[in-house]
Amino acid sequence: MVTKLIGSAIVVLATTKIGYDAGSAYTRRVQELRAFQSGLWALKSEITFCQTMLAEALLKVSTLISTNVKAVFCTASENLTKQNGITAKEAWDSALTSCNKELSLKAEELAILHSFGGMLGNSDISGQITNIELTIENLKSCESEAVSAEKKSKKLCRSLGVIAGIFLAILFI
Amino acid sequence: MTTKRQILENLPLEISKILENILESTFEKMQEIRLRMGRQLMLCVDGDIKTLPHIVTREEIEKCLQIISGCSVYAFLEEIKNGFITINGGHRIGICGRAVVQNGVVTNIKSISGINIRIAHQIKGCANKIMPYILDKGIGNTLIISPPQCGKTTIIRDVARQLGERFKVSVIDERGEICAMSAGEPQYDIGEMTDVIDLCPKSIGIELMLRSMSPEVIITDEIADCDISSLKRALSCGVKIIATAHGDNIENTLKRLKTEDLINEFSSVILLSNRKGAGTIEEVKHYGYKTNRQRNCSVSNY
Repeated sequence: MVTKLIGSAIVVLATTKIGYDAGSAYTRRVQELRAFQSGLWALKSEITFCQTMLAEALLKVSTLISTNVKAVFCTASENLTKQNGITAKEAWDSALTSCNKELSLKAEELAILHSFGGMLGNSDISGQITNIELTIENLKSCESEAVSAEKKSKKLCRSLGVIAGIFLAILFI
Repeated sequence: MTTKRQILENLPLEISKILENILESTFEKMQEIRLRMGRQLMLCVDGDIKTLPHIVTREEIEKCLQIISGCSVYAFLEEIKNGFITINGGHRIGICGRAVVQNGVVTNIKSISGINIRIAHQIKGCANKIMPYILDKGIGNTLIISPPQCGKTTIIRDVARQLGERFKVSVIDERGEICAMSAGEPQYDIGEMTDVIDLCPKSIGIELMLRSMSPEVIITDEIADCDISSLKRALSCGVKIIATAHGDNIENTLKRLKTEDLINEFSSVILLSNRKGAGTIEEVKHYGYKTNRQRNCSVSNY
């Protein structure tokens, strides 16, 4: 009986953890979307007011962000610095691809970020501003959708995790 | 870093792979690499034009512009407006395409159709035949005139090196070609006493150097008529001027530059060509206190 009780407790804990993890992915998604937006605002300032070279600007921006998004800006900057003959699009796309596993973003949000890379660094300041502002605008609408998804699904995932664990435990006992 | 590396790392991979097999020594003799959209890749080596069996594409031209600008085209708009960007090593990348003109002023160049990579070299001693004209009775104000590709910049770099060993020299390097400064350090030997202000318009640079560095000689490249008043100001301060200008005829160039009231200040005006190799001295005229000794010189080259 004691073994059954210990087993049931482990099952409940495990499913609860799965539920909480699934729920926190919604929170991470919102945080990442916000981090990308603030990163892009900072990039806009670097380009507009200082005309900082892109590799340096991306590196500076990465120091201002604390979530997983930091790695995207940092890797893109490294790609530009270390690889010869690489364009900004290639550097940005490769950074997004390599950091993809760490991010909780949906495919359409990644698509917005990939299309941002297409114009990155290859036009005058007003072109860069338009590209950044358009991307921020798109990310903002994704953010409001992500916030409502978080509200709806976060609690649901957590509760489901606990309930599923209890249900399985009852079955075992 | 070698010239070859400096150039290859600024080219798209497709083109740098093709040029990778070219010997280092050939790069040392190479003057230009030309990328023209839809046409063959072209090299100018030691005065000879060589075409390579590779058709340059629009993507390659666009990629090349991105790479040479460090993927930061927005930071090079001023340079693009002027039609060139200078890269690490002092190599000048010329750009042509469709000019965007607003109120009679070029504000951008779009649809880039051609890129010309002009490779800079340092040839120590290439100014040896010119130095006697510059150093005749102390330093004389000297104007070196030649069409493009005749070695003006290479010669003036060597003049800076030689004068910089003995005098306080200030170089106004508007295009960053003469000294190829990188993080405050010249990429070429320009002499122990040579100070440089780079990527600065000549008229501003001359004023700045006069105020801050107390030069004995000011060296600058490719002067135009808009720079003449700054040159006058420097001359009135007792500073000597060594400058270059585009042209293939001394009189016409002096007229174009509107140097009538300045010409007597120049002790030598030297015309170069590439008839017997870059830097061939075609003609030397002496003005000012040497007017009565005006003479033409025999042809020689470095």
